Amino acid sequence: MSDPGSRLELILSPPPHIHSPLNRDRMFHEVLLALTPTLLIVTGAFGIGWLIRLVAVTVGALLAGWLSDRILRQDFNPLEPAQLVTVTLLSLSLPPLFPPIMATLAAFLAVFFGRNVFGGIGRNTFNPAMFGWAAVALLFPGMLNRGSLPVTPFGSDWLSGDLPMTAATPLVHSATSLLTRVTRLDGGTPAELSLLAVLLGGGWLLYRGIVRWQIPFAVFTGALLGGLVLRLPLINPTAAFSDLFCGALPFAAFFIATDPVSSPVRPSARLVYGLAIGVLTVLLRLHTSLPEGVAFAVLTANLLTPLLDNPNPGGHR
Amino acid sequence: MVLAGQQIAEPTGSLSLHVHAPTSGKIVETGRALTPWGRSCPRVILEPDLADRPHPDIVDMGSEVPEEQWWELLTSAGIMLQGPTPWPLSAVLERFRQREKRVLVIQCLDQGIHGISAASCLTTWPEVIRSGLEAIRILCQPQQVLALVDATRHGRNITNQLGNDIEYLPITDAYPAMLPSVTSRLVSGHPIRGDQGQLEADPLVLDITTLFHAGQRIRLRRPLLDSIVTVGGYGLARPQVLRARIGTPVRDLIDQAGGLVGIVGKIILNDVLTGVAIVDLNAPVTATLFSVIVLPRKICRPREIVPCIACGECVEACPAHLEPVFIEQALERLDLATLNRLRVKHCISCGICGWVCPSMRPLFEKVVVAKHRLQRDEALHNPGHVDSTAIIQSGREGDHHE
Repeated sequence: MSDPGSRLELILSPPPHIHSPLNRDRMFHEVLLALTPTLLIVTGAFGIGWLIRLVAVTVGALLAGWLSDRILRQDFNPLEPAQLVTVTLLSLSLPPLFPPIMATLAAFLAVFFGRNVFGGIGRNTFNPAMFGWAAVALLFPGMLNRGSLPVTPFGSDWLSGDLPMTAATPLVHSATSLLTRVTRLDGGTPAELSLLAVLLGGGWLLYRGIVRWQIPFAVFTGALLGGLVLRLPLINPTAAFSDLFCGALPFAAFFIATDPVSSPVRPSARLVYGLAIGVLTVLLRLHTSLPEGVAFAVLTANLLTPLLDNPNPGGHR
Repeated sequence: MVLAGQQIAEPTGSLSLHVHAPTSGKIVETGRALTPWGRSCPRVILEPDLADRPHPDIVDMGSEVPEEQWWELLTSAGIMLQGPTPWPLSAVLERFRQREKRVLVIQCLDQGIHGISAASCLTTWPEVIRSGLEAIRILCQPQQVLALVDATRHGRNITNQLGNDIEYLPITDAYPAMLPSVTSRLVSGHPIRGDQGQLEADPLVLDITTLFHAGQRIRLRRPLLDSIVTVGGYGLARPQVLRARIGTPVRDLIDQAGGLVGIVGKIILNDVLTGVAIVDLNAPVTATLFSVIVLPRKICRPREIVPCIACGECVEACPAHLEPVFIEQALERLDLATLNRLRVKHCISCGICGWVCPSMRPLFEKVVVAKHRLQRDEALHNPGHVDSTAIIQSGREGDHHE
């Protein structure tokens, strides 16, 4: 049946010869999909202001990519899914009235120094979005406190207006208030806006297996632990819970701390990593003047990642 | 001139094989060759006379083979165990017999694509298979015999064939449940012990085709002359299970299965996750070949390999609880101390790490290379070697068009 005259072109490559449907691009597409509820609500609440920042961040990232292409000789693909995710996460972490030029700078620093200088995708030590946030927090202190109020259709009845760490919000009083807590819109950065959107997105990532349970669970547990130790729960019993769903912590637990490159590989190491982020977030919220402790908590935990992956770095004994 | 079934090669060590001529003919050349796996091995080229005259030793006399001769017959039959880490049956039985606690496991899980598998020979030759099982039980006296079957109707049919005094264990057929190391762990509770695990025979895991060959040897004195090969895949017209003499070119198997259809991407020997892709269709059937799979190009087109993103999928997926991501990094640095610490030798060659990696990295290949480096390093310090199987190539030299 095989015609001796026809040429058979066979592929010669090592096993495995079939592959699971999971690939890297698809993983990052799923993250973007999980961010959709947040993006929709954010666009509705902040409107054009947020879109301008998104564009500014994109410009910064493209600039960094172009420069990496010229100076670092790295291939530059503007539509690289990992790049899109970094851009989206960073723009969600910056306040809506943040000056666009600084947003561009933040994105440039995030992509160029936070990722490409280390070798590109898969080789960065730090979470690039948090690196960018931290860079502008240090360069322009106080700018990140700007602009907490959403200004469009949802109206001021829905606004809490408070900056999260000053209000020791009780977690649950009754079923009604839990519902209120989850569905209300908070002031601050777009990442903090809607807990419901974040939980929906996080739930989707867990369901699809893109994110494993260890890191979100450990981050929340760490925040609880930090609250128990640092927030004097004997005086105000519900204070221990106050950090759990406040600020950018839920967003960070599902979308930022779970960045595969900067987090450890082993499940047990991931638990320790998440705990560190939770505890450090509470510590930084209480004892620094930063508007939000999550970014530096994540960066500090990133410093721990190599040790968590390899407890015997010298390898001699 | 040799006759079918005549012994033409002797084992040179405890892990090497007897080899018998698969058909009658003339031996035209002996030497060495490269296997599709890239290793060098001894080779004998036999030109068949197409008369298939049997050697007197293997002519069926119609009488029962006396039990005293069974051990000698079984260990000189040239039978190999199947799987990614094949060992000679003689070596494994030798070790099994000496164990204090002897558990025999018969692996009847469906391994094929399209639902066809070599376990189907259980329904074709049940008496031969039962004889083989009987012989091994009498010779080795296991205290317990288990059979792993599919938790489906197909599995229940098998339980009717093998006998009543066996304990049946239904398994949901998920890869790599059928691999001997995983099977061993299921039954014995010991942690997975890598490629050497099956050699230690704790428990002894045999599959249906091994019992078939053993039964042939005991009932008919027939040594290993052929292999049961599942010829399958979406690139073949009529997938089926074939019984082919050792040395038959793979090309003939493909033709027998109706030939190739569509745009073919790969022709793979043995497993889709661990097997080797070939380009030379003259590759012969050997004692360790159990499957030929033809995949269309759409399924197996080459994919871009990108840097590792440390997602941990390989670590979660590995049945032996290894860390392929770190093994790859240690191999890049040629850090043999770290490779030892990462327990590379516990790898059971299932190939799941490469299957699951989102960056399409050939992790399985790296682990195999790491194992070879460690083995070579050890061989430098402790001389001793594992013999490879002889390959017999039959047919007119070079030209296989009929």
